[in-house]
Amino acid sequence: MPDWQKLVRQKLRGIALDHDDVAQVVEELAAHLEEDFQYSLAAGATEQVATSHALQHVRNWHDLKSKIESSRKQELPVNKRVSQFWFPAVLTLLLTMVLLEVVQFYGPNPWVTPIPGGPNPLRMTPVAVVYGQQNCSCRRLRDGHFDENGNQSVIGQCHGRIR
Amino acid sequence: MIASGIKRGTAELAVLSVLESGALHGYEIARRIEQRTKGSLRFTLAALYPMLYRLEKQKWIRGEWETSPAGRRRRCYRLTPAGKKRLAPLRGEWSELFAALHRLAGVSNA
Repeated sequence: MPDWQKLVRQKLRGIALDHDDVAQVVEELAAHLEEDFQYSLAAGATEQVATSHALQHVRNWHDLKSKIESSRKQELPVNKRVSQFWFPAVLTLLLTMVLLEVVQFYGPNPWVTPIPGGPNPLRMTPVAVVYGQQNCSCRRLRDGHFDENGNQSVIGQCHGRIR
Repeated sequence: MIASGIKRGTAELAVLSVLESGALHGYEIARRIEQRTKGSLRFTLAALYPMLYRLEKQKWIRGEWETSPAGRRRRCYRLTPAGKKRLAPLRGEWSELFAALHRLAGVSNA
């Protein structure tokens, strides 16, 4: 009688499962082949015919190996990650939205001021928002901070003075 | 024999149905299906085990190692409560399909 476990282990060599899993699969498939072999023998087949009948169960071991891998593997890592992090992610999003509302309602209001001697503030495009407490200073914006109309602007909440 | 494309769709129903009557190991499942369908549905090892593992992962069946009186270790599968719950709508879907095919092409499920 063939050593079914040895045969199955050889055929499934390299299967991407952990050691215990492989041992269980090998034992189970070998038991199936052995049952089939014994059934054929009991039905009057020779050992050679019974062996070949049992082996007809699997035409493509490589295909079986990949099917077993995909059916026995647990959830994909990305699914696991999603299941672990969806709640913290949603909670963070909600908290962020609430905090943004709070900050907009109670927080500091930006102070818009034109550059002294600059163009009409109504035509200005904001290029920077500066929040500060006391003695902050807003430097005059230099090259590269002009809007498309050539205007220069500073938005800030300063209780100090602008240099 | 039924073509493999059609058979693939019925496999889940076939396995869950034979396990409804009690725990069976893989070879017995294949034999039972073959006997009950008078040879129309046959499962090779290559078709059966990936499906059993998939059904187990879905928690519709549960496999446990058992030792027979003869000392043979076998992994026996039984239907879980979730599997029993799944079986009823599955039967309904297939009955609906057969009824539709009957209306369409005179195919009968009897």
